[in-house]
Amino acid sequence: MVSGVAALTDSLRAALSANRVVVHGPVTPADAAQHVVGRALLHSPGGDVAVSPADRLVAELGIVDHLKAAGTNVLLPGDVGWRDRLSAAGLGVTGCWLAVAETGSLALAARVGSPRAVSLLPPVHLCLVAVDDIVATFSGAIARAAGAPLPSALTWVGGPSRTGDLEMIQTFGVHGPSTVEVVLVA
Amino acid sequence: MPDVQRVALFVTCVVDIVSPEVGVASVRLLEAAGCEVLFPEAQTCCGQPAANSGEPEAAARLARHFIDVFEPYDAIVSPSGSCAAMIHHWYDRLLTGRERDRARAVASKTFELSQYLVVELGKTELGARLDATVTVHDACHGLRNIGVGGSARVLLEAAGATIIEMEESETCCGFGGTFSIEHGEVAGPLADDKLAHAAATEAQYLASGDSACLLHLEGRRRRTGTGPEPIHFAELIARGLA
Amino acid sequence: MTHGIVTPGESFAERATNAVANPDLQRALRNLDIRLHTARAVADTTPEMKDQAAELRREVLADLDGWLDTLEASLTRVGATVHRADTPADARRIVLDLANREGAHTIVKSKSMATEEIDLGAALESVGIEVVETDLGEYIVQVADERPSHMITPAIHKTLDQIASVLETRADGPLPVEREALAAWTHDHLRPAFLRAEIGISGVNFAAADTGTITIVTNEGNGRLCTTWPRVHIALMPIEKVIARFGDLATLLPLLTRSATGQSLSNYVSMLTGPRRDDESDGPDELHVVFLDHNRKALVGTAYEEILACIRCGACLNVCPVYRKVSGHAYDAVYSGPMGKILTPLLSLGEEGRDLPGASSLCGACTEACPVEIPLADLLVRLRADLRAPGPLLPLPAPAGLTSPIGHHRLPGEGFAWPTSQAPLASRPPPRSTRHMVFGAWSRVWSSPAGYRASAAAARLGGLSPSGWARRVPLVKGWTATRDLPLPDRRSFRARWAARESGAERW
Repeated sequence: MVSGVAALTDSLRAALSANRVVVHGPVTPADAAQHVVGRALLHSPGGDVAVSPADRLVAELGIVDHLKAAGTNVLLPGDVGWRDRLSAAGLGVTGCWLAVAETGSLALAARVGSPRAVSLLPPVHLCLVAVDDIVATFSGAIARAAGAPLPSALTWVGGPSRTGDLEMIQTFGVHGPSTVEVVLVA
Repeated sequence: MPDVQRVALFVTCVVDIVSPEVGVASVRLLEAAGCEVLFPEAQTCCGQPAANSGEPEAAARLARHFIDVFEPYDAIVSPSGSCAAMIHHWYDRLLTGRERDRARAVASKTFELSQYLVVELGKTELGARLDATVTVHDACHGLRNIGVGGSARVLLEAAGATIIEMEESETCCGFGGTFSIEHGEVAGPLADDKLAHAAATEAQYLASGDSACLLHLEGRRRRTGTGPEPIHFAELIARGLA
Repeated sequence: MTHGIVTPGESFAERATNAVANPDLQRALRNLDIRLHTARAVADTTPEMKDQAAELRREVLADLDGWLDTLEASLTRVGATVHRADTPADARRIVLDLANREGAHTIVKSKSMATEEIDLGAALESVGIEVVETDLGEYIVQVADERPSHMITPAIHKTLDQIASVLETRADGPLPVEREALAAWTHDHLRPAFLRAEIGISGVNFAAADTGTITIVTNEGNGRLCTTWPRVHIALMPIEKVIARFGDLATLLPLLTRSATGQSLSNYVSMLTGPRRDDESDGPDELHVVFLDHNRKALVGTAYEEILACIRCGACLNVCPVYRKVSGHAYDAVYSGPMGKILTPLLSLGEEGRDLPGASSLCGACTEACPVEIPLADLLVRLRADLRAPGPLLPLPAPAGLTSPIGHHRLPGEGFAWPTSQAPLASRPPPRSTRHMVFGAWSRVWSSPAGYRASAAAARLGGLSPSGWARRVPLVKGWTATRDLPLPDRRSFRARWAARESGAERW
């Protein structure tokens, strides 16, 4: 089992990369927002960018304001037509509750302002991960989850949607996002 | 341990009736390892055909007979991993009460031949000299039921044979007792796979520790002509004894 | 309920014969080595991990009713509604009533063996509801009007070009025989169904009794969609899916995904605790959990209780030499492979799959691969004994003090030992069948050394041939159809032993 933030970060990066996740950073908190804006302009030029505003890093880094300032159409859970527009959004931006270095999993907790589908319906999912939120093992993560009230949905995302149903050869992009990117934030 | 191990040979019904050469080889290997071999003449069959056919009453009858015959001996050795496994695994489930206690005591001193020589006695060098290439099929019940492991390979290599491992050496050959008669449609193709894997090694022999599996494979080989000669490891090693 | 089975036949032997002779199927099976998934899992899984998982499963089975009551209380506390179904018909009626009340036009389904078990799709379609299977493999077999041939990869029996042809029947034009393109087409084609469906139906991989959390694993994301977007989520849960504690997922979940697909964790794991909460933007308004018994409780306390430890990983199928030869349709049952051979006759009380337990070489690869240490090969042998008598299969409770589901032992060294389940081999009295009489007579003759010698001598006289082999023997044509039959040797081992003892020959 690895410990220490640097070792955990390296280990998570390796596991996520093995899961076909594009990993950026670690970047400083000051740079993180611009990084997200850059990815948003790339993945959803002129389209909606769905955001989970209640996720800790999203709120702390002022992601919504930065995206708006850059001229993107930010889609927030309370917005009129949110359900209809979400499926057409080019990108979903979330934070995560924690990330598991061992399995390369992003744990997303649903709550008000952090809907389940922002990481699910758009073709690209961008997830902000604070390096302090990396835990070494899945069992450690489960122990943390068991120690607090559980959200209505605790979702563990490994990477882009995939299937083994075509001659058992891993094929990406079925129902969920075909691209998952992670921005590690120091 | 005394200097000379007295060993009761459970030769099995298949070897007694169909493949006696394997029994002869087993005796020669045991004697080469310094054992005194006894052959309890009242022995018949371990009862596995009945147990595996879902006829536990008949199987228990033969289990009782086996226990009566072999109980007096200190060590019971069989050239069949499957028959040894029957005694270890199923006697315990076929019998109850005092009979089960006796079954467990008998099982605790029952061994497959290669396991007995290599693990129990620690005798791998039997003085045999072979110049042969061999691929080994790990017969299922010896492998999974009583942990025979690689004992036959150890003996073959000590005798000078060169082992060439085949793909899926631990996959069933398709024999499976009554399965091989009731489901020949699957047993035949499984034998083909095993023989093809063995053929791919280009070894001269396909060795294993269960005569029934070997007869099933040879029966198929006689139809298709594919694969090396199936042979019991004891018979092959005995050929290298002076 | 027979959907378009590709290997028709009355018995397993007939269907297996057809499967072995089906070149397309054999090509599909040769192209992939399903064994490799499990080989990796076995390599990654220590005996301690298996022991721990096995004990967690037995802990629940030791008081299944109690844990189900706890689970129901927890589910109710978090706002879910629990329904109890004794039979598949009950479960279908519960779901149909909910669909009716909801006025549902479209239902999206995530892959669930339990819904196959109760044939739920057909029941919903019969009242005019559009049912869309959303797991790609499951969608392929739905469009092809077939049944899944593997519990993890339902379309494992189909080659890529066959899959493209099947999907093309739902497409506007030709589809390329190319994996990424077919996945992308599936995304675009099925997305509208998720958005318009009023109800999402899923299975349950684990349900934690302490927190009321149901866990669902998928790789494609269809499980997430089915449980996120429709207004109502119905989860169908065979009762043995209950686990004691949320924390047990730390042990059981990685073991399931590793054994199923070789992944350290599935791509998507959803742990759902109740429906959406106040002011949350998505998630279902209602969560209904249907407990399905279907004769499972009748197994508790019998030697067959062990099969309820199964976590549906498919490892036993992947290592089974018979399954790998004939694929799932030859079993003509919802559950195939070793666990299916056991579960099918048990859940149907002997009405279905009576010939399945016999279709095993008893090689034990399934027992060895099982991550929760179910003695699958042993159960097959027990079923052979208990299915001898005609009529319903009603397993009798094991005598007190004899079952010890926990109490596994391992031989020293690399070997694997079978668990020590101690119930007597047959729980039902034997019938007066010909087979039983023959084995009885044989065992009596062979319990006597003189009888054994006489019968062996008779066989020797009857089976003399210069080669020692026979090509055609009507009595055992199942053998001689594919193999020559070995005949008794001219001289038995005991004859040679006697000759050596008397000094007539030297070895």
